[in-house]
Amino acid sequence: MSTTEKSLLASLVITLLVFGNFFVDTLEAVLAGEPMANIGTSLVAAVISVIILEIIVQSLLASLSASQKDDERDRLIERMSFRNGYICLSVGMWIWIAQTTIPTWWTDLPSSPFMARLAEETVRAAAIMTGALVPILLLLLFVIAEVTVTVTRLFYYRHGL
Amino acid sequence: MAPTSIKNNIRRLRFDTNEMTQQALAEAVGVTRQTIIAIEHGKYSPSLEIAFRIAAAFDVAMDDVFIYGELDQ
Repeated sequence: MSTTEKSLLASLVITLLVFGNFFVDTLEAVLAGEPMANIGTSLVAAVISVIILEIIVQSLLASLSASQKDDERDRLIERMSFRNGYICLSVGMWIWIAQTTIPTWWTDLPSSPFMARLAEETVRAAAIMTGALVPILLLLLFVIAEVTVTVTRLFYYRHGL
Repeated sequence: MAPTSIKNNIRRLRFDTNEMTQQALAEAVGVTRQTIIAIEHGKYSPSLEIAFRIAAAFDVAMDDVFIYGELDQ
């Protein structure tokens, strides 16, 4: 495994551990009705933790192995992975937009027991997606996109382009 | 992911050139050793520029290094 792959793997583990823990705790807190100030503090703590852990781990990896310059393959893999992350982010955003706008369409449709139930469920889902959850879900979307970039980079390094 | 249909003789050429190491070839060409490994194993098709540099490193024509299509290796 090359230094680049080790570095990517370390970043992936740190991101998943720190932000995974943050999102689980935060979603529980939001659903329990805790104030946003506490969540903001947790977010700052998570971001600082990621920065500190990344500095320590990446410095350690750099000191253990010879420095390596990027070449055309590294740049191509990076470009392709960022494209995948962008696709992931775009899909997430479109799902979100649909999630927030479609309930209003359902309620305008002619009523039937099935449609009424569907409208009720989608409005309830849309209500959960508002307020305190909006910035958290937006952040979750960015983290998922970032994880996609790292995972696909690792995949291309392992399996080729 | 399917290997590229561009085959190469890099391993044989390295052997014929005083058993040149992958690192030495990488340094001669200006890429990382991982890229040479990926090219050798058919997991990456290099740009024309890198392909010409690889041929120049072995002092052979490019079609002695890279072959498009089937090749028994």
